[in-house]
Amino acid sequence: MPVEVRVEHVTKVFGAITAVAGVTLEIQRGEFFTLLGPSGSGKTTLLRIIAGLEGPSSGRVFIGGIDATDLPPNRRPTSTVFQDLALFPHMSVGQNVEYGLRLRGVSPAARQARAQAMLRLTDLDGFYDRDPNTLSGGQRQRVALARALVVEPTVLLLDEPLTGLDEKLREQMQEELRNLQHKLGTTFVAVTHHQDGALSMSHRIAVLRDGHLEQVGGPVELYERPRTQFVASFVGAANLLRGTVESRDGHAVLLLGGEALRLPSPPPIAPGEPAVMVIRPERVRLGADSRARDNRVPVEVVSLVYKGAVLEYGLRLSQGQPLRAQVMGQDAGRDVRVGTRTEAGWDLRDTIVLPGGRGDGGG
Amino acid sequence: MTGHRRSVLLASPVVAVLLALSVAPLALVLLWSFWQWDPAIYWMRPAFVLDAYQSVVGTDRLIVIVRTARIALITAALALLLGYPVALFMDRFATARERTILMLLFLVPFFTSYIIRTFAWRLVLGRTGLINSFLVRAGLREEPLEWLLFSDFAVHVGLLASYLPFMIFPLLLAFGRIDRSLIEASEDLGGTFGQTLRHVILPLTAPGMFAGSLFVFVMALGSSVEVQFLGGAAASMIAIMIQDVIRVLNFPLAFAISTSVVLFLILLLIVGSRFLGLARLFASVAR
Repeated sequence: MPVEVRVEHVTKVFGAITAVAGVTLEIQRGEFFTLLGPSGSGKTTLLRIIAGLEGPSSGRVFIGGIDATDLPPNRRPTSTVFQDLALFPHMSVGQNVEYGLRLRGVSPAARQARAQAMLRLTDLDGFYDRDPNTLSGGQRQRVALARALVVEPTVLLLDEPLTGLDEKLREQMQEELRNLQHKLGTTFVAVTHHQDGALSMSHRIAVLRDGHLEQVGGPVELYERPRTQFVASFVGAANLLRGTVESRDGHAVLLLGGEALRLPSPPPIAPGEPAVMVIRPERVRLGADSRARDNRVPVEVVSLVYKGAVLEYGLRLSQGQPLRAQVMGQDAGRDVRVGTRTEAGWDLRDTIVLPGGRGDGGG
Repeated sequence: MTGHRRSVLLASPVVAVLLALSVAPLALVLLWSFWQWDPAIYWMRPAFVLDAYQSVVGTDRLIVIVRTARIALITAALALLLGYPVALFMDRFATARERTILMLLFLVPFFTSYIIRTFAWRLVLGRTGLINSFLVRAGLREEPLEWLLFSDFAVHVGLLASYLPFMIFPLLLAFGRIDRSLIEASEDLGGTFGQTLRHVILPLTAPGMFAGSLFVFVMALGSSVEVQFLGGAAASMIAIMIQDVIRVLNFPLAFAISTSVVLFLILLLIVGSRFLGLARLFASVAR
């Protein structure tokens, strides 16, 4: 697929703060791409640079193969859904949606027809004459979407489209965005700090941290094969077990207090080096279920939280390292209760081993 | 004590001040405007007659009132034309530092007496003033321009110099209320600066424009010094007319003129809040 947006060595400095530090990435045409990161990671700044609302301090931005670095926002084929939505308070819903067409000199009849069609697409049929100030948050968001899409941008930029909505509405919005993107085939670039939303909406995700690009990949890749400790702990919950790689009886193990955890072979980290073993809480087995697993350690149950579909256990290894486990229903058995000792186990294929420098600490 | 009684008690000082300083004088002005002026005793007598109001609409006085309203209206319009770009620049393009400097520049002249400030224009606009002496010396004119001083032009210059800040500050308030993202959204959707100005900034600053225009208009309507110092020989204003009438102790007529002006302004306010959302602008001050 052709590249729609190419960001090349983009850096943005605000005074003493470097918001974006030398980011290079490519967004494919027709893709739902998400910039994911905690606040202050530079994701919104990067989005605004693509929109042309900020100029990069250095680096270039290409949109549709054209160098757009110096183009003002009104001359870019991008449309933005702002975080605060930025609906014009002195215009009706219809006037808001038509605004971009009005600027392009589209006749009143034609622009009304297109606005109505877009309102139907965003499930706002009959809202044409409404005052946007009287709508609910979700409806206002859809007005902003319709307004941005009616001008047929090649790239739709969404700044935190999931923030400010309650959980139920957020899931609904994720679904709607995904459907809309699928229907229109427009390239969507969204910014969010909701990792669950990013995983469920996007084709690909770029994880940003302190202005740096940590990893770009599909949801499965980011979740199953994070390349840094930060990605491992930011995308989904993760246990990070820190230790040192040693060689024992021809096998590489991770020494962690009194425990020697088996590592996949060939070991990804050289003996003597610090390493981190990443295990997702739902891959940790407890009690009888831990028996046939590649790694098995004695643990003490410190806490137990009932979460409906799953039980969440807070565990402690012999040397005090915490370990979280999520177990479906009653899988762990009735004998695993707070204060008891049991065993936790997991398979090697469910673990990722990363270099263990503390500077990369992340979560 | 119930909550209601407590709030009444808490509000009472404010109500008392309002009654004493605003409502009572206005009520007296209204009452006395219907009394009869008796030339025999050179004072007014209790009555309920419309004599004073008949005098107000008498030709000479009406001409002064219309003329004053015209001067005030032109001043307000010029202030808007001059003040809007200034406020726009201060809000959109100036740095915080430049904005502070500009605001100070507009305020500092007000540290001197308005009489001095107005009088100073004579030294600028007069036959031998700054402008004329420059024009003559530079050879651009043989003779000094006569219409610079003691003319409506001079009156407008004086009024604008006095009241322009009262246009700029409400405008700045209105500009400050526009979210930056609205401007960005307009640009993002393809708007040039001109289109954004026309479709977003102008409509959203309409309350500020109206408030500023009202301030300037009201103050120009009540001005006298500028006309006395800078206007032509026959120039008069409502304020000057009222002074003249009071000098001969015809209070009913003075009060009738005042009442008419106040009624006119109240009407203007109603129209403004009705159509231009003046209440919204002031809501932001109260917030």
